[in-house]
Amino acid sequence: MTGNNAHDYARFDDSELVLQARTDSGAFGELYERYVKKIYSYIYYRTGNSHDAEDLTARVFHRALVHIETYVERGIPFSAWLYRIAHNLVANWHRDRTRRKVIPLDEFVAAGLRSEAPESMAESEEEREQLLAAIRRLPEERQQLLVLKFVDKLSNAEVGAIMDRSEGAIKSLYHRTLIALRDDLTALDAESDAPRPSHNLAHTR
Amino acid sequence: MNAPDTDLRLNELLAAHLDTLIRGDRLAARPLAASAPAELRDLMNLAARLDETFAPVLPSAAFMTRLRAEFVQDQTSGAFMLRWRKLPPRYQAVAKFGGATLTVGLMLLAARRALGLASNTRARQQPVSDPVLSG
Repeated sequence: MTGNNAHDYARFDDSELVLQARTDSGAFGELYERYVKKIYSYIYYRTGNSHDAEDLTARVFHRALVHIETYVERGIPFSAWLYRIAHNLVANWHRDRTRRKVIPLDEFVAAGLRSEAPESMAESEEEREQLLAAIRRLPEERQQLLVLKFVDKLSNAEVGAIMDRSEGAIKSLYHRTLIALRDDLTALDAESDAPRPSHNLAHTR
Repeated sequence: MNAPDTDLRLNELLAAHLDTLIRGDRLAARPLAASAPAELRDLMNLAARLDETFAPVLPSAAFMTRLRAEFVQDQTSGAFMLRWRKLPPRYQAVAKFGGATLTVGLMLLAARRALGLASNTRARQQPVSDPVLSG
Protein backbone atom coordinates (compact mmCIF):
# COMPACT_ATOMS: atom_id res chain seq x y z
CA MET A 1 0.00 0.00 0.00
CA THR A 2 1.44 3.26 -1.00
CA GLY A 3 0.36 6.74 -1.71
CA ASN A 4 -1.20 9.29 0.50
CA ASN A 5 -3.89 10.66 -1.70
CA ALA A 6 -7.53 10.17 -0.85
CA HIS A 7 -8.29 8.31 -4.10
CA ASP A 8 -5.98 5.49 -3.09
CA TYR A 9 -7.46 5.05 0.36
CA ALA A 10 -10.96 4.54 -0.99
CA ARG A 11 -9.81 1.32 -2.70
CA PHE A 12 -8.88 -0.40 0.54
CA ASP A 13 -11.16 -2.25 2.87
CA ASP A 14 -11.32 -1.46 6.57
CA SER A 15 -8.82 -4.14 7.63
CA GLU A 16 -6.17 -2.85 5.25
CA LEU A 17 -6.79 0.74 6.33
CA VAL A 18 -6.52 -0.19 9.99
CA LEU A 19 -3.05 -1.65 9.39
CA GLN A 20 -2.03 1.40 7.38
CA ALA A 21 -3.50 3.83 9.93
CA ARG A 22 -0.91 2.75 12.49
CA THR A 23 1.71 4.72 10.62
CA ASP A 24 -0.28 6.88 8.24
CA SER A 25 -2.81 9.43 9.49
CA GLY A 26 -4.36 9.69 6.01
CA ALA A 27 -5.58 6.10 6.28
CA PHE A 28 -7.19 6.93 9.61
CA GLY A 29 -8.80 9.92 7.92
CA GLU A 30 -10.44 7.57 5.41
CA LEU A 31 -11.81 5.38 8.22
CA TYR A 32 -13.08 8.52 9.89
CA GLU A 33 -14.86 9.60 6.72
CA ARG A 34 -16.50 6.20 6.40
CA TYR A 35 -17.97 6.09 9.88
CA VAL A 36 -18.25 9.56 11.39
CA LYS A 37 -21.85 10.14 10.27
CA LYS A 38 -23.08 6.77 11.50
CA ILE A 39 -21.32 7.07 14.84
CA TYR A 40 -22.65 10.60 15.25
CA SER A 41 -26.25 9.50 14.46
CA TYR A 42 -25.98 6.62 16.90
CA ILE A 43 -24.72 8.89 19.69
CA TYR A 44 -27.19 11.65 18.85
CA TYR A 45 -30.17 9.36 19.35
CA ARG A 46 -28.65 7.86 22.48
CA THR A 47 -27.90 11.22 24.14
CA GLY A 48 -30.62 13.41 22.66
CA ASN A 49 -28.59 16.50 21.87
CA SER A 50 -26.11 17.56 19.25
CA HIS A 51 -23.63 19.16 21.66
CA ASP A 52 -22.94 15.93 23.54
CA ALA A 53 -23.17 13.95 20.31
CA GLU A 54 -20.31 16.00 18.84
CA ASP A 55 -18.24 15.76 22.00
CA LEU A 56 -18.66 11.99 22.30
CA THR A 57 -18.13 11.42 18.57
CA ALA A 58 -14.80 13.23 18.82
CA ARG A 59 -13.87 11.08 21.81
CA VAL A 60 -14.76 7.87 19.96
CA PHE A 61 -12.34 8.67 17.16
CA HIS A 62 -9.61 9.90 19.49
CA ARG A 63 -9.90 6.70 21.50
CA ALA A 64 -9.86 4.61 18.32
CA LEU A 65 -6.72 6.41 17.18
CA VAL A 66 -4.97 5.82 20.49
CA HIS A 67 -5.83 2.11 20.53
CA ILE A 68 -5.64 1.30 16.84
CA GLU A 69 -2.23 -0.34 17.27
CA THR A 70 -3.65 -2.85 19.70
CA TYR A 71 -6.86 -3.50 17.78
CA VAL A 72 -6.90 -7.00 16.35
CA GLU A 73 -9.75 -8.10 14.13
CA ARG A 74 -10.83 -11.31 15.83
CA GLY A 75 -14.30 -11.67 14.38
CA ILE A 76 -15.15 -8.09 15.32
CA PRO A 77 -15.03 -5.78 12.31
CA PHE A 78 -13.56 -2.31 12.75
CA SER A 79 -17.01 -0.71 12.49
CA ALA A 80 -18.35 -2.90 15.31
CA TRP A 81 -15.30 -1.97 17.40
CA LEU A 82 -16.07 1.73 16.86
CA TYR A 83 -19.71 1.21 17.88
CA ARG A 84 -18.58 -0.59 21.02
CA ILE A 85 -16.38 2.36 21.94
CA ALA A 86 -19.34 4.66 21.29
CA HIS A 87 -21.63 2.43 23.35
CA ASN A 88 -19.22 2.49 26.33
CA LEU A 89 -18.85 6.26 26.17
CA VAL A 90 -22.62 6.74 25.97
CA ALA A 91 -23.10 4.38 28.94
CA ASN A 92 -20.59 6.43 30.95
CA TRP A 93 -22.34 9.61 29.83
CA HIS A 94 -25.67 8.29 31.15
CA ARG A 95 -24.05 7.20 34.40
CA ASP A 96 -22.64 10.70 34.88
CA ARG A 97 -26.08 12.22 34.60
CA THR A 98 -28.99 11.76 36.90
CA ARG A 99 -31.50 12.94 34.39
CA ARG A 100 -32.02 12.12 30.75
CA LYS A 101 -32.41 14.94 28.32
CA VAL A 102 -35.32 15.18 25.96
CA ILE A 103 -34.36 14.74 22.35
CA PRO A 104 -34.63 18.22 20.85
CA LEU A 105 -36.30 18.75 17.55
CA ASP A 106 -33.38 20.45 15.91
CA GLU A 107 -33.31 21.35 12.27
CA PHE A 108 -32.15 17.95 11.09
CA VAL A 109 -34.92 16.08 12.78
CA ALA A 110 -37.46 18.68 11.73
CA ALA A 111 -36.25 18.30 8.16
CA GLY A 112 -36.88 14.60 8.43
CA LEU A 113 -40.54 15.05 9.26
CA ARG A 114 -42.73 14.09 6.38
CA SER A 115 -44.68 16.87 4.70
CA GLU A 116 -48.16 16.86 6.12
CA ALA A 117 -51.17 19.11 6.41
CA PRO A 118 -50.65 21.67 9.20
CA GLU A 119 -53.57 20.42 11.31
CA SER A 120 -52.27 16.85 11.32
CA MET A 121 -48.71 17.96 12.00
CA ALA A 122 -49.34 18.96 15.61
CA GLU A 123 -51.03 15.67 16.31
CA SER A 124 -48.33 13.60 14.66
CA GLU A 125 -45.69 15.64 16.42
CA GLU A 126 -47.29 14.82 19.75
CA GLU A 127 -47.42 11.14 18.82
CA ARG A 128 -43.83 11.25 17.77
CA GLU A 129 -42.76 12.79 21.08
CA GLN A 130 -44.78 10.12 22.88
CA LEU A 131 -43.03 7.40 20.94
CA LEU A 132 -39.58 8.90 21.59
CA ALA A 133 -40.39 9.11 25.30
CA ALA A 134 -41.46 5.45 25.28
CA ILE A 135 -38.22 4.50 23.53
CA ARG A 136 -36.23 6.30 26.24
CA ARG A 137 -38.03 4.22 28.88
CA LEU A 138 -36.78 0.98 27.28
CA PRO A 139 -33.76 -0.83 28.73
CA GLU A 140 -30.48 0.40 27.29
CA GLU A 141 -29.79 -2.61 25.03
CA ARG A 142 -33.22 -2.28 23.41
CA GLN A 143 -32.67 1.41 22.72
CA GLN A 144 -29.30 0.50 21.25
CA LEU A 145 -30.89 -2.09 18.97
CA LEU A 146 -33.53 0.32 17.68
CA VAL A 147 -30.96 3.03 16.92
CA LEU A 148 -28.61 0.61 15.18
CA LYS A 149 -31.45 -0.73 13.03
CA PHE A 150 -33.58 2.33 12.27
CA VAL A 151 -30.98 5.10 12.32
CA ASP A 152 -27.79 3.43 11.14
CA LYS A 153 -29.67 0.82 9.10
CA LEU A 154 -27.28 -2.00 9.91
CA SER A 155 -27.88 -5.64 9.05
CA ASN A 156 -28.67 -8.14 11.79
CA ALA A 157 -25.19 -9.62 11.39
CA GLU A 158 -23.60 -6.19 11.94
CA VAL A 159 -25.81 -5.47 14.95
CA GLY A 160 -24.97 -8.92 16.30
CA ALA A 161 -21.24 -8.18 16.02
CA ILE A 162 -21.67 -4.92 17.93
CA MET A 163 -23.91 -6.36 20.63
CA ASP A 164 -22.07 -9.67 20.81
CA ARG A 165 -25.13 -11.78 19.95
CA SER A 166 -26.17 -14.13 17.19
CA GLU A 167 -28.41 -12.96 14.35
CA GLY A 168 -31.24 -15.10 15.74
CA ALA A 169 -30.88 -13.44 19.13
CA ILE A 170 -31.04 -10.00 17.50
CA LYS A 171 -34.27 -10.90 15.68
CA SER A 172 -35.77 -12.22 18.88
CA LEU A 173 -34.69 -9.12 20.81
CA TYR A 174 -36.29 -6.94 18.13
CA HIS A 175 -39.57 -8.85 18.43
CA ARG A 176 -39.59 -8.50 22.24
CA THR A 177 -38.65 -4.82 21.98
CA LEU A 178 -41.62 -4.10 19.72
CA ILE A 179 -43.96 -5.93 22.09
CA ALA A 180 -42.61 -3.98 25.09
CA LEU A 181 -42.96 -0.70 23.23
CA ARG A 182 -46.50 -1.49 22.09
CA ASP A 183 -47.51 -2.48 25.64
CA ASP A 184 -46.03 0.71 27.05
CA LEU A 185 -47.89 2.86 24.52
CA THR A 186 -51.14 0.97 25.09
CA ALA A 187 -50.83 1.43 28.85
CA LEU A 188 -50.15 5.12 28.33
CA ASP A 189 -53.23 5.45 26.11
CA ALA A 190 -55.37 3.62 28.65
CA GLU A 191 -54.04 5.91 31.38
CA SER A 192 -54.84 9.06 29.47
CA ASP A 193 -58.27 7.70 28.46
CA ALA A 194 -59.24 6.85 32.02
CA PRO A 195 -61.46 9.56 33.60
CA ARG A 196 -59.69 11.40 36.41
CA PRO A 197 -61.63 12.16 39.56
CA SER A 198 -60.59 15.79 39.66
CA HIS A 199 -61.40 16.53 36.01
CA ASN A 200 -64.65 16.47 34.15
CA LEU A 201 -65.08 14.20 31.14
CA ALA A 202 -64.69 17.01 28.64
CA HIS A 203 -60.98 17.07 29.42
CA THR A 204 -60.33 13.43 28.73
CA ARG A 205 -59.38 12.09 25.33
CA MET B 1 -46.18 -26.00 14.89
CA ASN B 2 -45.06 -25.72 18.52
CA ALA B 3 -44.50 -22.46 20.37
CA PRO B 4 -40.74 -22.05 19.76
CA ASP B 5 -41.26 -22.70 16.03
CA THR B 6 -44.02 -20.09 15.94
CA ASP B 7 -41.82 -17.60 17.75
CA LEU B 8 -39.02 -18.20 15.27
CA ARG B 9 -41.40 -17.71 12.36
CA LEU B 10 -42.73 -14.48 13.82
CA ASN B 11 -39.16 -13.28 14.46
CA GLU B 12 -38.27 -13.98 10.83
CA LEU B 13 -41.36 -12.20 9.50
CA LEU B 14 -40.71 -9.13 11.63
CA ALA B 15 -37.04 -9.09 10.62
CA ALA B 16 -37.97 -9.32 6.93
CA HIS B 17 -40.46 -6.47 7.33
CA LEU B 18 -37.83 -4.35 9.11
CA ASP B 19 -35.27 -4.98 6.38
CA THR B 20 -37.80 -3.81 3.80
CA LEU B 21 -38.45 -0.66 5.83
CA ILE B 22 -34.82 0.27 6.35
CA ARG B 23 -34.12 -0.24 2.65
CA GLY B 24 -36.56 2.63 2.21
CA ASP B 25 -39.11 0.44 0.44
CA ARG B 26 -42.28 1.45 2.29
CA LEU B 27 -44.51 0.38 -0.56
CA ALA B 28 -43.21 -3.16 -0.31
CA ALA B 29 -43.52 -3.10 3.48
CA ARG B 30 -47.26 -2.34 3.44
CA PRO B 31 -48.48 -5.58 1.81
CA LEU B 32 -46.14 -7.51 4.11
CA ALA B 33 -47.91 -5.96 7.08
CA ALA B 34 -51.35 -6.48 5.55
CA SER B 35 -50.77 -10.18 4.94
CA ALA B 36 -49.04 -10.83 8.26
CA PRO B 37 -50.69 -12.79 11.06
CA ALA B 38 -52.97 -10.61 13.19
CA GLU B 39 -50.59 -10.67 16.17
CA LEU B 40 -47.86 -9.14 14.02
CA ARG B 41 -49.87 -6.50 12.20
CA ASP B 42 -49.83 -3.92 14.98
CA LEU B 43 -46.13 -4.60 15.60
CA MET B 44 -45.38 -3.97 11.94
CA ASN B 45 -47.39 -0.75 12.05
CA LEU B 46 -45.39 0.25 15.10
CA ALA B 47 -42.18 -0.53 13.20
CA ALA B 48 -43.36 1.76 10.38
CA ARG B 49 -43.95 4.52 12.94
CA LEU B 50 -40.46 3.99 14.34
CA ASP B 51 -39.01 4.26 10.86
CA GLU B 52 -40.71 7.65 10.46
CA THR B 53 -39.73 8.80 13.94
CA PHE B 54 -36.02 8.14 13.61
CA ALA B 55 -35.35 10.90 11.12
CA PRO B 56 -31.80 10.98 9.76
CA VAL B 57 -29.40 13.33 11.55
CA LEU B 58 -26.06 14.65 10.39
CA PRO B 59 -23.19 16.31 12.22
CA SER B 60 -22.49 19.89 11.14
CA ALA B 61 -20.01 20.30 8.30
CA ALA B 62 -17.88 22.59 10.50
CA PHE B 63 -17.62 19.93 13.19
CA MET B 64 -16.68 17.21 10.69
CA THR B 65 -14.02 19.34 9.05
CA ARG B 66 -12.56 20.46 12.39
CA LEU B 67 -12.37 16.93 13.74
CA ARG B 68 -10.91 15.54 10.53
CA ALA B 69 -8.22 18.23 10.62
CA GLU B 70 -7.11 16.88 13.99
CA PHE B 71 -6.29 13.57 12.35
CA VAL B 72 -5.00 14.31 8.91
CA GLN B 73 -4.81 17.78 7.45
CA ASP B 74 -1.67 19.05 9.15
CA GLN B 75 0.64 16.10 8.77
CA THR B 76 3.36 17.60 11.00
CA SER B 77 1.24 18.58 13.95
CA GLY B 78 -1.00 15.61 13.26
CA ALA B 79 1.96 13.26 13.61
CA PHE B 80 3.03 15.01 16.81
CA MET B 81 -0.48 14.79 18.27
CA LEU B 82 -0.67 11.15 17.23
CA ARG B 83 2.59 10.35 19.05
CA TRP B 84 1.51 12.44 22.03
CA ARG B 85 -1.84 10.68 22.38
CA LYS B 86 -0.14 7.32 22.18
CA LEU B 87 2.07 8.11 25.19
CA PRO B 88 0.86 6.44 28.40
CA PRO B 89 -0.78 8.97 30.78
CA ARG B 90 2.17 8.64 33.21
CA TYR B 91 4.64 9.68 30.52
CA GLN B 92 2.37 12.53 29.48
CA ALA B 93 2.29 13.76 33.09
CA VAL B 94 6.08 13.55 33.38
CA ALA B 95 6.49 15.38 30.06
CA LYS B 96 4.09 18.10 31.20
CA PHE B 97 5.94 18.45 34.51
CA GLY B 98 9.28 18.60 32.69
CA GLY B 99 7.95 21.21 30.30
CA ALA B 100 6.58 23.31 33.15
CA THR B 101 9.86 23.06 35.12
CA LEU B 102 11.88 24.09 32.07
CA THR B 103 9.57 27.04 31.44
CA VAL B 104 9.77 28.23 35.05
CA GLY B 105 13.58 27.78 35.03
CA LEU B 106 13.95 29.85 31.88
CA MET B 107 11.67 32.51 33.32
CA LEU B 108 13.76 32.67 36.51
CA LEU B 109 16.97 32.93 34.51
CA ALA B 110 15.46 35.69 32.39
CA ALA B 111 14.22 37.51 35.49
CA ARG B 112 17.59 37.20 37.21
CA ARG B 113 19.35 38.50 34.15
CA ALA B 114 16.90 41.39 33.88
CA LEU B 115 17.34 42.21 37.56
CA GLY B 116 21.12 42.04 37.19
CA LEU B 117 21.06 44.39 34.23
CA ALA B 118 18.83 46.81 36.12
CA SER B 119 21.08 46.87 39.17
CA ASN B 120 24.17 47.35 36.97
CA THR B 121 22.46 50.27 35.28
CA ARG B 122 21.55 51.77 38.62
CA ALA B 123 25.11 51.31 39.86
CA ARG B 124 26.47 53.04 36.77
CA GLN B 125 24.07 55.93 37.26
CA GLN B 126 25.21 56.46 40.90
CA PRO B 127 27.61 59.49 41.21
CA VAL B 128 31.08 58.12 41.87
CA SER B 129 32.88 59.98 44.63
CA ASP B 130 36.33 61.29 43.71
CA PRO B 131 38.80 60.11 46.31
CA VAL B 132 40.97 63.25 45.81
CA LEU B 133 38.13 65.69 46.19
CA SER B 134 36.49 63.81 49.01
CA GLY B 135 39.77 63.28 50.83
